[in-house]
Amino acid sequence: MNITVLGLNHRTAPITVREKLSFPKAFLCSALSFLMKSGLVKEAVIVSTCNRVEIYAVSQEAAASRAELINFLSEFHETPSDKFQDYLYSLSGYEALKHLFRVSSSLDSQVIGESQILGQIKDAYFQAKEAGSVSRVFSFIFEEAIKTGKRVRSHTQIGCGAVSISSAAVEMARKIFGDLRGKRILVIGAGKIGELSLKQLYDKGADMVFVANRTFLKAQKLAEKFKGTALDFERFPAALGEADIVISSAEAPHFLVTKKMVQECAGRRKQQQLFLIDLGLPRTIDPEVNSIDNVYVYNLDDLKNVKDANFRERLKEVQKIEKIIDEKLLNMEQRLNALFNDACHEKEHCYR
Amino acid sequence: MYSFLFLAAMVFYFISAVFFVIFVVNKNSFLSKAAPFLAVCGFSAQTLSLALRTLMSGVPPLSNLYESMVIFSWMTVLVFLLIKRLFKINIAGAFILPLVFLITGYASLLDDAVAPLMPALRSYWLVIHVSSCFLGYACFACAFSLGLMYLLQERQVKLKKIGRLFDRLPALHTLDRVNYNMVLFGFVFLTVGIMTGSVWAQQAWGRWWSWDPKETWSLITWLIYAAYLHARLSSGWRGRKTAILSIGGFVSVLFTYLGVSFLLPGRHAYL
Repeated sequence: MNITVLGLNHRTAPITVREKLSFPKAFLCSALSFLMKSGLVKEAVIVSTCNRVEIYAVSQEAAASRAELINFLSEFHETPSDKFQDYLYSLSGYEALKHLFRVSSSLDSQVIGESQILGQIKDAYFQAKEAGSVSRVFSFIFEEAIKTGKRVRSHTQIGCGAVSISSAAVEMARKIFGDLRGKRILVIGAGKIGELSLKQLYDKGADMVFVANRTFLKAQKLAEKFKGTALDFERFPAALGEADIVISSAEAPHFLVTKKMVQECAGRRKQQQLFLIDLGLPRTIDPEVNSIDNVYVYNLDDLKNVKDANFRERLKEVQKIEKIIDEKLLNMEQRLNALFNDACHEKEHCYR
Repeated sequence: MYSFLFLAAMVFYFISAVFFVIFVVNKNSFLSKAAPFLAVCGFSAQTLSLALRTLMSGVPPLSNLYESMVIFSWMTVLVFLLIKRLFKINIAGAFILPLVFLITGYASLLDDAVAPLMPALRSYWLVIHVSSCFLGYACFACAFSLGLMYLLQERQVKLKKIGRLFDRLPALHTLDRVNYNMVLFGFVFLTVGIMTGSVWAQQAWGRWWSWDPKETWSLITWLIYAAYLHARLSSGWRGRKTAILSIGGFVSVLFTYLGVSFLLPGRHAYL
């Protein structure tokens, strides 16, 4: 009796291979029953996300099951096994368990600490349960893995701090304004990158949007998406006085927003805080603007520094989490041995 | 008994202050609950101590340095607990509780015996005048702490140096607003305190205002906070400048309260 995991992830395999082997939700149930019917495994769970495809199985023998699972993948996806074999990893026993717990704690994710993986593991587990491919061993193990994933999120800082440029911009905005509800956003340049940050701020409640763009039609299009107002490009300096947050990503050979411009609208602003996000490359906002009282300018580099600092904080938590997992696995050992003893009649190959 | 309760309160404040300061560097869910809880314990012990002492002596504890420090610290904790409740700025405790501990610690070195009330102070004006002044001071002490927090946080945002304090301290806008509220309330209480003091002076000494050092310095303090409110309301000052003003105002409060008593004795010498 053994637990194995066979799979590939974003580190071991290129996206083309991951795509080929992924299990769309609709096929998951049939894949699981196919696997169960073959008699290869006693229990199985398939985790399939855009970054990983993993088959967790309880089987009679470890060595045999690797080859058989590869066979299953190849048959089910109608792909010759030599196309993906080299990208696979397989672990068994304690190592496989530990892997599952690291995955559910998001230590194995591309962005460490991201929150989606826990939900994806949950989904995978419930779907396997529905398909009838989970019994006592996996229901115990997966429920513990999900519990541990939750515990790790609530007891450590692994999920804290923004780790992308646009969420770093949102984090800074919230550190300046607190509540973003009712805040006014001026967008200069209706590009894709500006829209990304705009969307995040908008979702947090900043719902008065003004868009200025050289091509007025594009400004109108973007403004419509966020129930905002489109402005003539020439009029954006006047709108500076009305805005709380400015997102600039327009292309220009010189600084579009100058210190003088912001100072001129200071009278109308009454020294309210102003947060300018410069997503342009080359920069579009004069960095000198940052020296005005209550005005803060963050460019791409600054936001990247915020993001990197947050990421470093996350990495500091990794050791803590590894410890939580090790302790958890140690605690589970007794219960697992009992489960295995019940499950294997021959009582010859047991856990570890 | 009341001395013991007061010492207990002081110890609670001390541990609470230590927990709050550790909480700033090390986010820990135990500390985040324990520190405010201990502050509440200290506050309860101190309230009990004050009530017992007042019942036993029959005079309000407002007539000498020791008593004023007890009242000052008690009101400061009260205002902090209100801030925590209303604005959820838990971390303000890391700045306010050490201050409270210093005041109670100093008070604990003074003689806490109940002295008979001086004839000059036997008046109901005493209660109104002194308690409203000290409630004002308590608000200013909290405004001072929030101003400090604002400057620390603003520095990080402005210089883009995201340190450990960054995610512990609340948003700039929140700090600024609560700082303003505290100054506003403090100003109202101080105004009431000065006015009632003036009325009392007219009754007791026959003059509304006699340029006693305490009076002069309260006026200076009052003017600083009046300038704060004026700059804010009519010129729209916000943020760093007003935070600095609220810190300067509190320095003036401290001088009015302690400096004048020690350096410039006058008619308020008993306090």
